Amino acid sequence: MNDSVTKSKFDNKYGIRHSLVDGLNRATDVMLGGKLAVVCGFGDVGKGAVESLRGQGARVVVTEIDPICALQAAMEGLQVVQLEDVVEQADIFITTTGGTDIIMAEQMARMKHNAIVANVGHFDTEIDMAGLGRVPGIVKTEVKPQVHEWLFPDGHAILVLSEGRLMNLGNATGHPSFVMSNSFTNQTMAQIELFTKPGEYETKVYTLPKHLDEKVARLHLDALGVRLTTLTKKQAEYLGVDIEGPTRPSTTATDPTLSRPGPHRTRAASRNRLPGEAFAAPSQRRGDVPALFHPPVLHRLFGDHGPAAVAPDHRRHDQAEHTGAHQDPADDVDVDAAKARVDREGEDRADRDQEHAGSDTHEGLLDWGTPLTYPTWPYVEPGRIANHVLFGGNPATIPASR
Amino acid sequence: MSLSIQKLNGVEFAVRDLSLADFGRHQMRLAEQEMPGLMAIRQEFAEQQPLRGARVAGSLHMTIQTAVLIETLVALGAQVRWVSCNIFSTQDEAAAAVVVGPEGTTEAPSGTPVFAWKGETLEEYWWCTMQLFDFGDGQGPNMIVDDGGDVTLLVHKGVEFETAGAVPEAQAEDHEEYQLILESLRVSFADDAKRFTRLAAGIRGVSEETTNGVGRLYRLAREGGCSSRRST
Repeated sequence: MNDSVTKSKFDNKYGIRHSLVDGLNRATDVMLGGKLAVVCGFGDVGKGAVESLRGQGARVVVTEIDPICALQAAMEGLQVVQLEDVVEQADIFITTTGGTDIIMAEQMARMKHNAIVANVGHFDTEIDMAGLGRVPGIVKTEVKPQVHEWLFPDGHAILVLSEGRLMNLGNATGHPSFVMSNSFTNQTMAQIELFTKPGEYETKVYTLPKHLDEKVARLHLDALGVRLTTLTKKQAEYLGVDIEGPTRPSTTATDPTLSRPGPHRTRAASRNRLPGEAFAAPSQRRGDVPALFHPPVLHRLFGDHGPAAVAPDHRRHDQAEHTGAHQDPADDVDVDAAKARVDREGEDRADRDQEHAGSDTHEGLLDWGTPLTYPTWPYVEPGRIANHVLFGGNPATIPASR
Repeated sequence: MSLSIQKLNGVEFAVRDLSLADFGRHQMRLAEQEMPGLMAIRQEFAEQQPLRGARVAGSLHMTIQTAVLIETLVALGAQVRWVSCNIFSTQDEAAAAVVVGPEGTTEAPSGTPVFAWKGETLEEYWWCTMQLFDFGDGQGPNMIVDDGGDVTLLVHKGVEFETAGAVPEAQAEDHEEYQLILESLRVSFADDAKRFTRLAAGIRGVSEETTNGVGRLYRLAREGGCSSRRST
C-alpha cells in the first residue's frame, strides 16, 4: 500500500515536512534559519524534507541521482549539488534516499564543527555508522538518548541523531495523526481485502486500486472543510470516467497533479478501470496471467516504470529486459513515460478487456479492482541488509543496477 | 529490559512501563479525532466484522498513531500481536495503552499483546519480532502488516532454512543484524524444525507500509522467492 497515492504522496512528503524539524528541534534545539542544509534525495521524502527546512528559513541544497528529480529540484529553485561540493560548508545533512552509503565516514571527518547528520530513510544504511566508529581516535559521547557527539582527533565534532536510523521517530514521535490516518486506512483496507478474499490473489505484489485510493482521500476531506466539486454527466462523459470516480486512469505513484488524463486517451484507458464495467475479478483473470515470476514479465511489470498490462508479449518483454530502467530511489519521476504508455497501451487493454466485459461481477466487501495496472514504480535499491539477507553474498559485490 | 514475556489477565506483553497507559490513552483519544479515515472504516465495518478470524502479526513503529490502527484492526474483529519495526520508534505510552486496552486497567489489562519499547538493542528487537508468531493453541498469524519488510523477510528466511534442513552459521563478515536473524532462526529451528514452514502456509497476505519494504518485495518477486501467497 506504500504505492497508493494517498500514502506515498502524503505520509512520505507531508509527514516528513512535519516530523523532520520536530526531530531536529527536540534533538538539538539548534536555530535552523540561515543554516545551510543538504537534503540527499529529492523523492517524496526529500521533497517534504526540503519544505520542512525551507519553512524554518534554512538555505537548502539537494543531491540527486535521478535526472528527473534533479530537474524538479532545480525548477523549485533549489541548487542541485554533489555532496562533495558542500560537505565542508553545510550545517545540516539529511539523507532521504532509501539507498545506501550516502554519507561516508571520510566525509563526516571533513564537516564543520557540530554539523548535524541525520537520516529519515527507512533503514540505517545511508550514513556510514560502521565507518564512523572505526575512525582512529574518535570519541562518541551521548548528549542524551539518540543524540551523539562524535569527536574527531582533530578536535572537531559532529552530531549524529538516532545512530543513523529514522530520526523523525527516534528523536521525535514520527508523523502526525492526520497524515497517518491516510496511510493506515490504506493498510486496513488492504488487510480486509487480502483476508476476506482467500484464493483470489496470486502470490505477487499488488497495489491498491485507484477507487480505494480515492476513497481514502474522500474520507479525509470533511475534516478539513473541503468542498469537492462533482462532475456533471456531460463532463464525466467528456473525460470518459464515472461521476463517482475513479477520476484518473489508474493508481500510480505519480504526482496526481501531473498525471491528469486528457480526453484523447481517457476513453480507452479509463474505461478499463471502471468497477463493474471492464474489470475482471482477479480470479477470473487467471488465464491472462503468464508464469508468475517469469523474469521478463516481472521486469516489464515492475521495472518498466509505468502502467503495464499483464499479457504475454515476449517481444516486448525482451525489449524491456534490455532497457534496465531501475535506478532511482525517487518517486514521481516517470510521469511522461507513464502517460505515453497509457496512450500506447490504452487501446491494447481496451481490446483485451472486452473479453472480460459482462462476466466480471466482483462481489466482496471492497472492490479490489485489478492488477492489470501497476504503479510507476521507481525501483529502490534495498539496504545493505536486505541485499545480504535476501540474496546472499557480499553486499558490496551486488551491482547497484540490479 | 529483560527478555521475558509478561502475562497479566491473559494478555502477553513486553513493554517499558504499563503505568504509562493513561498517558497513552489520552493521546490516542486526541489522535482518533485527527484520524477520520480510520474512524470511518471502524464505523463502516463495525457490523460486518470483516477481520473476524484474522490473526494479524504487525511490525510497524509502535506510536500513538499505530495504536489507533491496532485498535481499528481489533474493532474489525482481528486478533493482533504487535512489535515496532525500529529500535527507537516506540512511544512507550502508546505501547502501554494498547496492552491495557480501552476497557482494561494496568492491573487487569484487556488489550492487545505488544512487544516493543523505545531504545531496544538489536538483539531485543529480533527477540520482540519472534514474539509475533504464537497466537496460542498452536496457531500462527494468517496476516502480516509490515513496515520495511523485516517480518516478511524473517518468515522467508525461516522457510528457506527449514527447507534446507539447517540454519547456516553466521560468517564474520555478516552484518550484525543478519547474525542476530540467524541466531533467532537457529533457536526457532531447534525448538520446532517446521515452525515457519507451517506458519507461511497459513499466511494469506502481507500489507507493506513503506518504500524500502515494497522494494524488497518487488525484488523478492523478481527473484522468484515470494512464498507467502499475496503481498500488497
